[in-house]
Amino acid sequence: MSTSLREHIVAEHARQLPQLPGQGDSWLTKTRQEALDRFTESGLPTPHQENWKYTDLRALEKQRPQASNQLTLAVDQIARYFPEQMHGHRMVFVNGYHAPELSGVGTLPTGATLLPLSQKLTTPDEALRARFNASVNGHGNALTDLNTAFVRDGVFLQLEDGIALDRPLHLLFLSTGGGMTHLRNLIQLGRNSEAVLVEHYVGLDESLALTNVVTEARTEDGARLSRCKLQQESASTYHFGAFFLDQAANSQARLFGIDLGGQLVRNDTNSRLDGTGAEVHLHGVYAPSEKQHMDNHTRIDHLHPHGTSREIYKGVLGGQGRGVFNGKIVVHKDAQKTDSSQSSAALLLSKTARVDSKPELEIYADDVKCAHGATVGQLDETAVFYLQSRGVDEASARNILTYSFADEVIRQVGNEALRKHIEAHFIAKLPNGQLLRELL
Amino acid sequence: MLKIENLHARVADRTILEGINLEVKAGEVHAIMGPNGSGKSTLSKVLAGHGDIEITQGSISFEGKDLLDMDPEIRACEGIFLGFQYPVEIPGVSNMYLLKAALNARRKYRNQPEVDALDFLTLVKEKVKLVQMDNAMLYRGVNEDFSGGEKKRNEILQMLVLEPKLAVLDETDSGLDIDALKIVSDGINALRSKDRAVVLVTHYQRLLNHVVPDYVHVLANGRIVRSGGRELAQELEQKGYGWLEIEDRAEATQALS
Repeated sequence: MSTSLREHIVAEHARQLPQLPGQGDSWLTKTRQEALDRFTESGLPTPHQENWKYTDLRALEKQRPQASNQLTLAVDQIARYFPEQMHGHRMVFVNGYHAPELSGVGTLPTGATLLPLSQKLTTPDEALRARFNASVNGHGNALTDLNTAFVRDGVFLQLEDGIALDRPLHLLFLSTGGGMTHLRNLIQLGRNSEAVLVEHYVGLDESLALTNVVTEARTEDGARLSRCKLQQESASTYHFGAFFLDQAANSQARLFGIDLGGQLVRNDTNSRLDGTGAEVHLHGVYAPSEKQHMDNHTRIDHLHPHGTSREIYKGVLGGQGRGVFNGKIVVHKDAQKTDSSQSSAALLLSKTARVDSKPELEIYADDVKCAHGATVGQLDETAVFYLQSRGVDEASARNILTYSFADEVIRQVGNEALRKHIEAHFIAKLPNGQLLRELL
Repeated sequence: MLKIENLHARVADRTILEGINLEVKAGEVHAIMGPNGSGKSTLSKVLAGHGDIEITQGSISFEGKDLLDMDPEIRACEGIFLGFQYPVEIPGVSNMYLLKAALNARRKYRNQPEVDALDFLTLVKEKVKLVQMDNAMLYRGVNEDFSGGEKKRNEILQMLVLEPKLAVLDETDSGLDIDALKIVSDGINALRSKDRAVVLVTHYQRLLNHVVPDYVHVLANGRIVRSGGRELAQELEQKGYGWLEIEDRAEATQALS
């Protein structure tokens, strides 16, 4: 007898629930159950929904994913994913389970709280309840519901007013052996506090996995958050990453999303500029090759005056790679003097690659500056010839130009160690990329 | 060094070159002049191996080797340099990086080890002075946000670092003010030697006041219609191309049809 994915999920939830954190807590149990109910009601999104027009989950619908297993790994199996010289506070998770033996958090400044979320979920306190789902709050979808129902771990970071995290926080989420993993990260930055956050997702083998992560963050007045999500999952992984940010007045966020891995990737990146003078920079690079599919949906809500948003997304698509970019910017009626720009550019390296790119601007205020542009193109053959005429072979010339295209975003990653790590892994994805590494 | 014989070439289905003959010996500087649309730029691109140009007849040999057989990067490694009329901007790839990649490509081709980092820096800094560029520009993206004049100086810098046997400079003088023209000319003169040759493609003769050519050729309608010494350029300056009774290509095409 065959069961539907929804029935499977319900049965799987009943099976996993006794092992999930927060069993004795009625609030969490209820929250999980309500989310599960919403999921069983809606099911996975379908291409009939405007937001999912180009991303078809029918193949996933046929899967019957089970919970991923708790495993022990040796440090040398994963050390290549520690960006050299980054010296971050490192927290590692394997298949969604906190792995203290691989982590190295070190000493945190006073006023900084960093915990595995599971610890918070076991006995939910006011701080957790105030943050959990607070930013998702009506903006989620079936996958965020699934995440709420199944969430096991992630991180809880809280910085008190004025506290600057001295080193980057490197969150390394490893996946191996397949199965589904639901992670939730909750970030709370107090007034004028500051943090650099690296969310790093890595697949260690080619088994079919489903990673479903939700990160919720709030930056209070004047806080500064830099967040880089680097996704290097295996080529058979479904990766869903949702990010919800609430920004209070004069807070600044620099957000990067770099997608190199995964079979089907969907990111929903949202920022609400919920205070005067808030500023967000939202940049991404996605590089699907072979049969990879990468979908970036972004949404920026300007709710108050004098907000600034800058958005650049760059797609590099090879093989039969598919890309989707949908960038929505809503300038609400009170958001006068908003200064917003968005650009999306895609480079098609093969005849079979494809990208669907759509800017969506909704402007309800009358004194605003909003610019947007989208381009799709191939490498400039004159530039290829230019490099060849300098002695560079054609394959390397194409790689140099491809790298140069993506570098407009990558070079803005402030942390040098991280930037180098991203560059190296981006280059490794290019055909004959090792030649380019030699040249660099 | 360079021998072009009866060269015919076309771009898409338009014939551009219709029987070019030219010989350039080591130590010589040749100027190729001609009105717009005469085929000057096409000739320089042919020498560097641009893929859009189809050679329908004729041959080019470079130091006795068949040039038409070589990919553009091999020609570069063999010692040909093309200075572009419109140098390309490559953000994200620094000038230093390109110079090093280009130099090492040549060295690899000749089975030489990669250039020593310190030697390379010394070499580049020395050449940068010649073209009066700011050192900081070396670390910017190739031609990124450079002015027209800066781009041309950067071409000359690349040429000086790469030390080609044959430099083909396509309208390197266009769009330069007097000071920049002087700098570019000095750069070209610095490269001149008995072992090297230079082909200057230009519309105007003012560059030739600074870089004195041994020979001047006038290209029109895909052929060299007149060759002479430096005085030919001066005569052209005074009398214009009309003096040579060069037909307008459009008229010629009409007459044929």
